[in-house]
Order: sequence, then C-alpha cells, then structure tokens
Amino acid sequence: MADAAPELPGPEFPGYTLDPAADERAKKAQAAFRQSFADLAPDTMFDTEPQGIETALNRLAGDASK
Amino acid sequence: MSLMDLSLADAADGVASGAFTARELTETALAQIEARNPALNAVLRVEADGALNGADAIDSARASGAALGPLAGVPLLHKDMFYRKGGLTTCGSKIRKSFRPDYTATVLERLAGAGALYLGGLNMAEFAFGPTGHNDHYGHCRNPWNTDHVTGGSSSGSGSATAARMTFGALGSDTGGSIRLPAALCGLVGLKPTQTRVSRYGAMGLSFSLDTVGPLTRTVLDNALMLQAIAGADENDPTASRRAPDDYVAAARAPDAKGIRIGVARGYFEDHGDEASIAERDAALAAFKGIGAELVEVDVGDMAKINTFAAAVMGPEAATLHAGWLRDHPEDYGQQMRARCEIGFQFTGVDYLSALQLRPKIVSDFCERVFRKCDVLLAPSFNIQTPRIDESDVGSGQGFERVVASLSRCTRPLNFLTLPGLALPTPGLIGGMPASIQLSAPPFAEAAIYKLAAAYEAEVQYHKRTPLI
Repeated sequence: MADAAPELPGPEFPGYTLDPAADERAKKAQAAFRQSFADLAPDTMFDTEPQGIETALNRLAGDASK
Repeated sequence: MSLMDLSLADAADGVASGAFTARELTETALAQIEARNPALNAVLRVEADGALNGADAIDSARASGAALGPLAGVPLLHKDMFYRKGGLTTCGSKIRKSFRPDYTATVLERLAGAGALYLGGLNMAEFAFGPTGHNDHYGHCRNPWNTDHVTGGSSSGSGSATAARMTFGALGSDTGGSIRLPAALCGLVGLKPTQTRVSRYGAMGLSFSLDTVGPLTRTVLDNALMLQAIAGADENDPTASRRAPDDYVAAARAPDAKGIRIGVARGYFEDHGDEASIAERDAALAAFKGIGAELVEVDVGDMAKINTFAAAVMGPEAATLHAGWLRDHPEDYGQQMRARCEIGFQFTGVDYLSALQLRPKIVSDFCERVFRKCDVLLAPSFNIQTPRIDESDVGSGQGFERVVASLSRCTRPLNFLTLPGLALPTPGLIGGMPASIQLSAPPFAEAAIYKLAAAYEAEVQYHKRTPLI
C-alpha cells in the first residue's frame, strides 16, 4: 500500500500554497457571501439578465433623467 | 500666506491673470515639498525638471496671448499608479519599483490637456490594497493633522500631500474607499465617481469591476475642476461610459441646498460607531438643515450583506491579477497585501459570477428603495476615531482584519453599488483630527452632489482650517 500523500498546509492554486490562516479567513469570507447570496437572490437565477454593470448603469441613468 | 495656501481654482486664476507665473507656483510647490515631506513621507518622487519646463511653456503661451486650459500652470502630484510613458510608476510596490510603462494613462493625458503640470508620484498602499496608509516598502505615510496617526488609504500620499499644501490636489483610486478614506482622515474633499464615469486606461488595476479614479482636493470647486478635466468616454477604455459629463464646475459655482431631500443613513452606518463621530455627523446634518435642506429618514437595507458581495468580487479579481507574482515572488509582497490577496483564491467561479450576476438587481433595488425618498444620501465616511499608526500596524492576523473592516465599513458598499460618493469634512474636529461625512446619489449625479456640497462648504468653511504641520 502506498504511503498517504503528505497533508498540505492549505489548498493550492496554480503552484501556490495558501497560508493556513489565509485559508481559514477565506473560508469565513466565502461562507458569509454564500449566506448573503441566499438571503438576497431570487428563487432561481435562471431568469436574471446576463448583463454587464455598464448596461445596468446606462439603464439607471436613463431612468434618472426622466 | 504662501501660494500653496491658495485653492486649485485660485492658483489657476492667478496664472491666467498674470498675478504670478506658473514657474513661481511650481518653485513654491517644490520648496514646500522639501520642507514638509520629511515629516510626512507622502511624496515618493519629484520630477522637478519636467514640471518646470512645463511651467515655462505655460508662461510663454500666456505671454503670447494663447488660450490656456482651465488648470494651466498648476503643479499636481498623483498617487503613484497612473502610467506615464517612460516614467517610473511603482504602484507602491517592490515588484514594480523599476516599472516604466510604454503608454500614458488617459486621466494624466487629460489633466495635461487642461494645462496641469505633473510634479511627481505619491505614496500609496502596496498595489492600492489597504485602507490605512501603511507601506512596508516605502515607509508609512503620515497624517499632517498629527503625524502619529494614519492617513487612511490606499491613496495615502494623495490625502497627506494635499492636506499639507504640497499639491493643490491629487488623483487617487477607490475600490473600497481608497479616495474617500484618505480624504476623510486628512480633512479633504474626495470623490469616488460613478463606476464607468472616469476612464481607467493606464490606471493600475486592483479589481476591475470595482475600481474607480477620482480627485482629492481642499474645496468642492477644486474637485469639480479636476473631475471635469478627466470625466468622459475614452476609446481606450471600453468600460468608460459614453454618457456626456455634466457641467460639474457650473454646479460647484452655483451652491444650493434649498429643498434638497437628504436621506439620513442610520442603522449599519451608526453600528459600532464612535459617539464623537456620530455627533459630528449630526452637526453636519444640522448645518444642511440650516441652509434649507430637508432631512428624511431612509432605510438603506443590510449593507453588511453588500460588503460580502464586494469581497466575493474584489478577492478573486485581485488574486487573478497577482497570482503569477504571488507564486514566483511571494517574498516581494508586504504581509498585509499578501494576506488580502490570498483570500481571493478560495472563492469559486460560481461564487464570483453569482455576485456579478446579481449586482445590477442589487443596485437597482437599492436606488429604488433609497432615492425614491431622497435626492442625496448622507452617512459618515468612517465612524471611528482616526487610528494611530502604531496601533494599526498589526501584521496580517486578525487585528489587521479588524482594522480593515472598521475603517472601510462605511465606504465599501458604494463600490459594489457603483454609486458616486463625496467625502466632506464635518463642522468640527475630534481630538484635533478631522471627521467626515459622505454624500451619495444615483449613478452619474455628481453635479447634484457638488451643488449641495458647495452650499455646505460655504456654510461650514472647513477649508479654512489647516493642519498644524
């Protein structure tokens, strides 16, 4: 049986190993975002418009100028 | 009184009228930098020869009767992240300490087109990723109101140098508060424009969905003059809005608060707030009421949730830009910069795109909820007392996170919401240090903000206060 792979201090991203403390902070930030998203998103994202923010701003600016 | 005590507008008028020459103005700025910068560490690099040659060209043009631009002969220092062809642009970093771009930022081209002179580069947080003004590579920047205290960041040198009268104004960039915070902590007027209002071509990127470029100045009119010069469409930046800029200078020259509905943002913006900061916010509200504005209560919703969206966008975008250098030269990053970048690696592609996909709806819902009830929203720019440099130099651990979160608490939401935000000093000081409010409005309503802010400035006269240094 092969030896178990050594445990890495954190996840890797293209050749870069995260500091474990950063990994923990990142998980907290990610969890906070996912909770906010669950609170604010509609039941499905399927019908949301795939528009860039520039388009949305132009639309808002048009509304504001009425 | 030194020529450096003049406002940017008065300095430009003085050159145009012949009251003094652009060379005299530039030499005075150079002397001021020599005298004051050692205590502040705000200026990284002075380019005296280029500025003096430019000043002589302006003086010759005036002598020959040629038309001058609105900023003709005014020397300006800028955050060291705006590219100039062949010129050093360090981005406050070790990695780019010798970087010489091969093209020039649109904002610098436009300021030069208006006649302004480039005098040099200013200190900043490494790669614009930090709200305090600390810099491990070039030394911490200091606040001219009290050099033991932070300037705010990331446009730390822009705040310190403008407040200390080493420049008449400065460009900064704002991804989570980096213009408004140093403006607020150094007693200045600082504008984060609407997302897409100002071209970012040739401006170092941090988070391309949230980055904005704008001016820090001592008066509202000065701010409007700089925005007027830099705003507008740019064929080199396809994300810059094609909407024509309003006449910001005319708005700033016609102050009026009568009948303007100011929304008072409580809840999130008051939570964890220092009593003295909230009292200064209230003093500003009283000043607005005194000049004819109407105060209305508004529900801004849960801004803490908006901040988590900003993190899900800023983290991955910053990590994307820095991944290669982080892998190859991690030792060349400061501790805080590296710690903040690393957070971005953890978000998934679905997290990142979910945040962006929902952004237009969040912005639209916010505008509908808030700006149906008021014309301008008022909140503190920051709601704690200005930290000392030593108490906020806390490495990359949890203490650092707390400093980042508490300093940028009131500014970050506007970046995700895309909205313009103008930091303005409050009527009084707290322990000798400036406090600040920020005015926000619907997208592209910078002129409305300037008009109201100019009326407040005329009433409060904060621009007549000067730091002790």
